[in-house]
Amino acid sequence: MVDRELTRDIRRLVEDTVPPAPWLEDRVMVAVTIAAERPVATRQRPPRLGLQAAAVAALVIGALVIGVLVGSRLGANGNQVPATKPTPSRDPAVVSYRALIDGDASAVEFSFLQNSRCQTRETCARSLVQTRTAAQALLRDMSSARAPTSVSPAALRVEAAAEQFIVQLDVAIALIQQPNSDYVAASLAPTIHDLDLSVAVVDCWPAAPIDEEHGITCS
Amino acid sequence: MIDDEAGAVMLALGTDLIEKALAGDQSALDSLLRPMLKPAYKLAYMMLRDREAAEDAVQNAALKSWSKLSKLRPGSDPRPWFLGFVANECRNMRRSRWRSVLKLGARDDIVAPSPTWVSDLDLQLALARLSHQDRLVVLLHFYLDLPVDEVAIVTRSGASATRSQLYRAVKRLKRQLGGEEAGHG
Repeated sequence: MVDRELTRDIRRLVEDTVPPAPWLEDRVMVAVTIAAERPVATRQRPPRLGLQAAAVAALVIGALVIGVLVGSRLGANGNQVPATKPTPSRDPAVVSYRALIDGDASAVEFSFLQNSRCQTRETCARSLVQTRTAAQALLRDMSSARAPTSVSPAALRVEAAAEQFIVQLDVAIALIQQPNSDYVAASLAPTIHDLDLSVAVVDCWPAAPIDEEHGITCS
Repeated sequence: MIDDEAGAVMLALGTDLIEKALAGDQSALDSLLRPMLKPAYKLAYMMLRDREAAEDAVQNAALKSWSKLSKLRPGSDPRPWFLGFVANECRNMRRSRWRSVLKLGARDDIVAPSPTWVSDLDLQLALARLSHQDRLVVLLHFYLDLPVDEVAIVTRSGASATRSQLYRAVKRLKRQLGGEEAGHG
């Protein structure tokens, strides 16, 4: 078989095998357009909120204060943990701890990605609540499992990031529930990147995660 | 195969279109992204063998690439850059635990056998037996017509390493197919 034949056969195989998805282009463009418009929508939100803006702003400020407090508390705890000399990660406890975190974090991410497709106030709220439930499950599982000493500082970072993420979700859910709020902008406001990065610290140990252009990889 | 139209659009794209898209020009964003979606979906499907997962991979890749569009070097071709996100999403989905759950194909995934069904099946099995990375470089080069240096951008490898990997992948593929072991030029 010469390469020209291989090219022809692979092209035929792909064309014969891949099921059509005629809705995909529109679906993706809608999602990207919403994401692209997010800064504009955010700027436009205060005038539309009117009198409710003060209550929402207070809620946001309160949530941010809680987030900062939670972050600084856990950050301080993280500093108290003695530095662990990296060792090869053949420790079964590390492997099983990673599996626990990865499974839960995948569920959070999966649920969060569904959120980018929500089209109504109700579905956006429901989607974020589901994501919050998944994030809580991650925290619950982490608190009931003992982190191996070698990755315990990294585990604290995951807990801190998950708590901060839940704070963001709470703010977004509260905004969505305001009748005249920009629910699309609100639903797109939380970011899962810090949580992803903190999970990668556990996954990559003893190496470090690298936040690259195409995603997070281990050094 | 990337449509000729898509290829032409990609080649015609310059910094101008990217800047317009970043500035909120909806038609520029559409022109930039839409032509890449169909080939990206076909690539993702061949990598994941799951329609929903492939759709999700393309959507996630589109959202992530949009958020990093400002980092795209001026004058560079967005096609391999975008396919890099798609490849990364496929890799992540394959690793994720929920993807390991056995999924029964949807009814619309079932298609009538084509006249070349048997040889297609052989090739399909041979491709499936390749490693994820080997399958990726073969599809990028032979299906999407990406030259080796663009395949290297997608896989984030050097051109020389990519050429070697492609050569070895084709050799393995041909061995699986029971054919000759001619090298790849």
